[in-house]
Amino acid sequence: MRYVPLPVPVMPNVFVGTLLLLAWLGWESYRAPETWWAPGDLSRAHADVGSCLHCHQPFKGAVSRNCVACHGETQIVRTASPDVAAAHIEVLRRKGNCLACHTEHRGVLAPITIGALHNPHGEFIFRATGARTCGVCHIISPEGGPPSLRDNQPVRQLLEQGKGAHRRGRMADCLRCHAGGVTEVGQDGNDR
Amino acid sequence: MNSLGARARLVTMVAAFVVGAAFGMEWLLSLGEGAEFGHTRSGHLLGWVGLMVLLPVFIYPLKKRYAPEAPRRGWLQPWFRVHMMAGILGPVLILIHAGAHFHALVPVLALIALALVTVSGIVGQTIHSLAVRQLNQEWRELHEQGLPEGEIQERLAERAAQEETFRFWQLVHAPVTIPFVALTLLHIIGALFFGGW
Repeated sequence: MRYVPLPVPVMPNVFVGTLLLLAWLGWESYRAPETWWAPGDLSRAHADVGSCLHCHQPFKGAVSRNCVACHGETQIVRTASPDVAAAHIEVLRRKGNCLACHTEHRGVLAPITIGALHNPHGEFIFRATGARTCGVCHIISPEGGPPSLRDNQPVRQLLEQGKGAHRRGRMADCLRCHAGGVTEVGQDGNDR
Repeated sequence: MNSLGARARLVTMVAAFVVGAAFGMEWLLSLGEGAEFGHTRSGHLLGWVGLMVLLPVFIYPLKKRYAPEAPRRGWLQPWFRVHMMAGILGPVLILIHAGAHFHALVPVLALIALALVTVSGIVGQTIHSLAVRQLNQEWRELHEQGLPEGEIQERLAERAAQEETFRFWQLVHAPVTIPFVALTLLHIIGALFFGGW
């Protein structure tokens, strides 16, 4: 059967088109690198990170040195519970690898700790309480096991306002009062 | 055309099954990992293996272009088999490496280009093999009717010309290879830049 070659102008035009595509990708990568290169959205914890190179070192990946630039001992002691802080300070002092336990680019609501517990409350709980992490309301043991509730102001407020609805085993009923995602519920149980 | 339609349905079903199976396997391999399979060490390795398997597909078109005596000597046919085998196996391995994740647009574009090249190749091979089979059948029938060789060749040339009208796939198969190679190189450079060696 006769071999039919492609029309002569096809390949040069494809070359030019590919060069234009690469130039456009270069420009777009400069404008929105996460869209073009990241395997997923950053978590809520790192949503304010402005540049890929805050965490990534060229041709070395995300390196612990860059994590520690923001999450040093002082910051950890100030923001984490004593048990979580102690576990992290131990890792920092022996210059351990942050990526052994932590990950990123798995979505805005995804946990950044590998093997972390699943959030059964959904995005709504963060909006309703103003919390940014699970650790605001829960004590999460580094050894694993189910998390326990903290005795602090956000938790006390949640328990008081729910009049029993926010207790263990009752949280699944949240949409009975919070239908449509309303955060404020009136005295009579209606949203306002 | 009926046999073409039947074969097209079969090829489509097999292709859909293979794509589903590859994505399913990636999902299974991701279970229990801290990340998607493509971002694990094994996932990276599979990406490299897929690329290595894919590379021999270029031998056939290069030989066809730069060794015009190849068809006469008969050593083009084995490379065409390599072209087809590697052109199926390589993309399957790369599909497992990629999984059904479509966030980063550079690898997504590379995957789309790979899909276009692979699908157009399969379409081309399907049309071509059917046409060759029909030509052989027609040649036998005309021979049995006792027609002179000159007339047989004339009639077969008409049939071959009809097959050539189905060669629209060629306008995709070879040209899209160029953006595919460029996007794949870009993906590899980006993966190494952001993910390290």
